[in-house]
Amino acid sequence: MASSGNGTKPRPNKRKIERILALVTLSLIAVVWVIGAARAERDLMGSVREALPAADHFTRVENGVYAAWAGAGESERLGYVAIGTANGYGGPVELAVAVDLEGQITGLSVVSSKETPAWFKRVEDAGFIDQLSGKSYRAPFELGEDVDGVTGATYTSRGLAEAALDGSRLAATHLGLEVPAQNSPSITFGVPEITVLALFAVGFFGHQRKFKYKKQARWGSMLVGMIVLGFLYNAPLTLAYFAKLILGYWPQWQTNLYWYLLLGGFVFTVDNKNPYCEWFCPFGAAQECLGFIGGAKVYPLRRHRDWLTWAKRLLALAAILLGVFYRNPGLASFEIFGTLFSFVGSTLQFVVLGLVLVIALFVKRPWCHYLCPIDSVVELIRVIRQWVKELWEKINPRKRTA
Amino acid sequence: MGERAMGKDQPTKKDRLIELLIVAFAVVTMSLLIVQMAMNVADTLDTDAGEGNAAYVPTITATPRPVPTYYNHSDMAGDA
Repeated sequence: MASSGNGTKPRPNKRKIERILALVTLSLIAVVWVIGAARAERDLMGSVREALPAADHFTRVENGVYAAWAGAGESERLGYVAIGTANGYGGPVELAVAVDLEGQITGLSVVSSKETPAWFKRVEDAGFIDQLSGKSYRAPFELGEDVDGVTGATYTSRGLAEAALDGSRLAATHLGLEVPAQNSPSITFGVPEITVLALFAVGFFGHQRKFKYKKQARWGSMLVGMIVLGFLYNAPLTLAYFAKLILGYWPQWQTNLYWYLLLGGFVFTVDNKNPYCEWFCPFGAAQECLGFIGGAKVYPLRRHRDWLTWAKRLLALAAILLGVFYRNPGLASFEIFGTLFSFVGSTLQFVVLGLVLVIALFVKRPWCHYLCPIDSVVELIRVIRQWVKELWEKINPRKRTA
Repeated sequence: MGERAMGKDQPTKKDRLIELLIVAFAVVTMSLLIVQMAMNVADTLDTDAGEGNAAYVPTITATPRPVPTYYNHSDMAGDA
């Protein structure tokens, strides 16, 4: 798709430049990650103080856990404030949970939430957060059992309760208290997981030179990808997912196996040919279907190819850096996949979608060629993988064929 | 032969026009996507300001997000 991703080997000079730029990109992401983390820590301290106003000062014990002290020194410990996280309705909910020396919650403060404001207010007005105060880390924190949920805002209530549980148990661990073991969730393995495995298999065998029915297999996998991964589950790979992983928000593998399969197949393709984009990307397939109807052609750019490719890469890098700086993976996502597959998005996203779909009737896969940030990630992975491979061959020269 | 082959590589007026149209499409769409990202950042800054003002009553003014599907966490998809 991109200029150097067409299977041809880049010249040594070009390869050198590519590697330098790959290193610069990774370094830039690392630097912004550190700056963003420092910024988030500063913002966090306000919530930590609000959760335990009686403390005179705090010391950081580990990431998201703070010891609270009375007085100037560290002689009188009041307890801990830990940041508990859980999934609410619209995304992660973070609570600063203050716990005394017996493991009882003494105060809570909302650090961040992605909940719909009206619902969040409803939960707050119902005194939901107040009822969590005074509970022990040993309590189950389950709606309908020891916690009364707010009608009409069940997901938000549950997210807050689970975040309080998470924070209280994190603090209790640092107090040396025995924390009840949590049951690991059961593994989710359903239609999307089976589909993505099957599609990777078709993509892998399909692009082998000897394979006879390449065209049929490719159209079949594209249609399945578009219908199942697109319209049924709205689960295409987005840049936000990479931002999320860079930020360290790794979801539980048991309940997010689909994503790990998709990412694993994407990054660790055995023959350096990633089948996702060409064979079953739902949005790519949708464009290609339109192209089939409109008789779209590939128009190789001559004068403007290079700067357009770099503009696309810069856009992707800017999105990643924004997401990493603000610790919000959603910021990294400007793709219009959800706009097509769930029919949800801003007016601007619908305008972009309309433009792309109209152009797709005449130009083959315009989004993939000129805009898709995932393509830039593919390029970065390709450069790094090739580099690692060459280094490995240098270290193990006997593996090279004579 | 060589001259003819070279002539074949020269872009015609039609090729140039198509290339310009594609460039115009890419530039317009990229600009719209940049505006979309800027709006996302503005929403985030609004949310941060709201959370800084009150612990229990966040004055978040961000656009309500859609119902997240099981496989597409809204914070992850972000494109809605």
